[in-house]
Amino acid sequence: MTLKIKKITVLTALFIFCMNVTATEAAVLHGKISTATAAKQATVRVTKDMEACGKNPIPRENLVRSASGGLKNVVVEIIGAGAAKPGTAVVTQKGCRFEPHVLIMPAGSSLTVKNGDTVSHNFHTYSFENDPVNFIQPKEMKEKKVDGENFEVPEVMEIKCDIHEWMQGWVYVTESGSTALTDADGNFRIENIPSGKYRIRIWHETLGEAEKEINVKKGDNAFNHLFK
Amino acid sequence: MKPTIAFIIFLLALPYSSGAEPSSTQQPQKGKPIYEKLCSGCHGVTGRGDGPAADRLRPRPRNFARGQYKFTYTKFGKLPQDKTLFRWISEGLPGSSMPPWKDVLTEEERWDLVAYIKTFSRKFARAKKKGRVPKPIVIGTAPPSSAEDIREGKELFLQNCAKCHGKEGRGAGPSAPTLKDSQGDRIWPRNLTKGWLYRGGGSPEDIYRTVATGITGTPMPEFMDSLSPEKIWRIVAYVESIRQKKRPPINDVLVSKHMQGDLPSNPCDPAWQSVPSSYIPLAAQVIEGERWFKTTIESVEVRSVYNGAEVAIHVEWADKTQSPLTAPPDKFPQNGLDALAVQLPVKMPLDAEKPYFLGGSSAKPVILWKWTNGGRPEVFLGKGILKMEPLDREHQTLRVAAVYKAGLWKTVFIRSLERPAKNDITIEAGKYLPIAFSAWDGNNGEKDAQRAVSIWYSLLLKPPVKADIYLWPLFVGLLIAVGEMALAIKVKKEKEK
Repeated sequence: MTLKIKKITVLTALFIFCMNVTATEAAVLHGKISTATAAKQATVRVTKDMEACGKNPIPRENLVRSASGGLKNVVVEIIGAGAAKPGTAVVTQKGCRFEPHVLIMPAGSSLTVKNGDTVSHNFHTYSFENDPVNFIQPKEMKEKKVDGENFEVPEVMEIKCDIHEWMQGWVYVTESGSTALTDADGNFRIENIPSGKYRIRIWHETLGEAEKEINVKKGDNAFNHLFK
Repeated sequence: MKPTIAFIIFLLALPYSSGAEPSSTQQPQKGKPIYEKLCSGCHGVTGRGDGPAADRLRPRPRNFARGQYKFTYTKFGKLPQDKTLFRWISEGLPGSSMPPWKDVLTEEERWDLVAYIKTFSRKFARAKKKGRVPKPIVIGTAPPSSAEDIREGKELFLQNCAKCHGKEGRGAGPSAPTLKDSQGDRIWPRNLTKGWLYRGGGSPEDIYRTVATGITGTPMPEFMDSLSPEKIWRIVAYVESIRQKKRPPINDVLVSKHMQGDLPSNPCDPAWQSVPSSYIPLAAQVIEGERWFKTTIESVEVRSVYNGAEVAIHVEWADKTQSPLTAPPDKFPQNGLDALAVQLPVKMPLDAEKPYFLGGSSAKPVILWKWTNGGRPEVFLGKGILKMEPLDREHQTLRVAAVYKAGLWKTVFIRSLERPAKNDITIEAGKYLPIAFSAWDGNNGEKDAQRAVSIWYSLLLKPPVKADIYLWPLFVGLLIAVGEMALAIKVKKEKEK
């Protein structure tokens, strides 16, 4: 009995040790994406459904910059670093905006669209490579699952509720398993990257995209980018 | 189950179709020369919807490279069945520039065209590779609808459709000004009251299909997985109830009725409802100056009355936006001025030749009464659509009132019958006075020569029926009676003698 417990403890310790080894062998990439461009308008103008949409100010999210110049909602993608596994992603229409504003989605994933509002919305993907989706989502329909067949090819697609013209978001369909979205201060962190040379893509809905070569080494790697 | 019953059930379960089935010998290479000869002028040689005529067409011709088709029997965004493409090639699309080809091309040629069109988008090849076939929706036939169904349909319409199509279905909802299609071109929600302009056909089954699948490439969403078929049929029943199926007939003569007392100067005066209206189609002004191909104002409806001193012309038209808007949304594309003009000749034409219908000419000028939203009515002397001189104040006996409500502009123009100045027209009863109309949709970017225009029509002030035309026959009758009586008396007296 005690022997058995000992055996398990040793095995567990060995397992944790091995885990640590693989974790240190894989690399981490972190950094900050910033911009010199200032946002023009802080909130959107709500012109209808005031009861459901007009109570709280709705931020204009196409360019959100922090005090230190950090840029929010930038997709950082390491091209070719492991394949992303399809799963289920979620986007919610609430307060007449999309949450999240930018959604990174592994190719082939299905998408659950929620309506948390007391009005009807439509959900419309402006895609080209993938078949576009556009359905009415009455207030009674709290949730709808969209098949992964509509997100099978890597593509950046705008999503809109055409009824409320200010409602705009993005779905970033990718095959890469190493992606991140910057936080409010423009910071991002990607873990578990097998070390090696890659191309890195930085995408922002308003400021466009850039591609660079990077050499990701064991341990900590820093990458910063400035959108002019 | 008996095989016959099973077969009938199978038939009933079959999705709606045009009846045509693809020929087994479709050949894209045979469709190519037909396409290049008949279709490429609009759709372009490479199928990208960029043929020489494309910029002048609204809606724009389909870009086949995108593989997105508006009216299909498949879910939003999904590739259509071959027979759907065959149907639109054969029948054309009402309200667009796509004509029917069934009288021009044989069935086989049309199937070959379908095959060729599919080669423009890699999506068809990809679907074939993956073994995906278009899955048509089940429509069935329209169930009978009760007043209760229509009422429920209206409720669903108000909740889910009115933001774009407007509460009255004229396409004047609050979201109408900001809609764009997937290519970034502006797109307008349909005015559902004008049923003869439905692009995807106007049968209840067609309307069901459009609501169920949406219109791919546009903001019109699919309803099929969001509302039950029963609810969609109720929406269809409501749409059917507000839809005028046929285009009104066109009369060349607008009759103005004589009336006693003051003319109704308020456009919403109920007195106007008893005055018969004339439907006048408008077309984009594609001839002079900066030509215009994408007008939104399809027609005007005109009524007229007059009295001893003045004539009133009531003009009503559907416009999806009142522009300028006082509080436009962020993405409001244009904010010009809505306007309407009534055009008359300066002189009553002595022969059949009227002034040039687009603003007259130096030899035969016209008078233009122009109302602009938010501005004073103006009177112009026109010597051409681009040569409009404002006339001085003495011409301005014109009064105009306008009201915008629920997607409709209603205006009343009132002017003295007597000409207000020397180079202006006196309007006489009993004569056929040429009259034409121009309309501008400010929110569509229309101004100056860029407008919707009509050809010449005739305004006839029908002379009042005077009381003496009733008295004369009575008087004559009485005279005859008296004469006959006198004759009878005379004959009787002579007999007695």
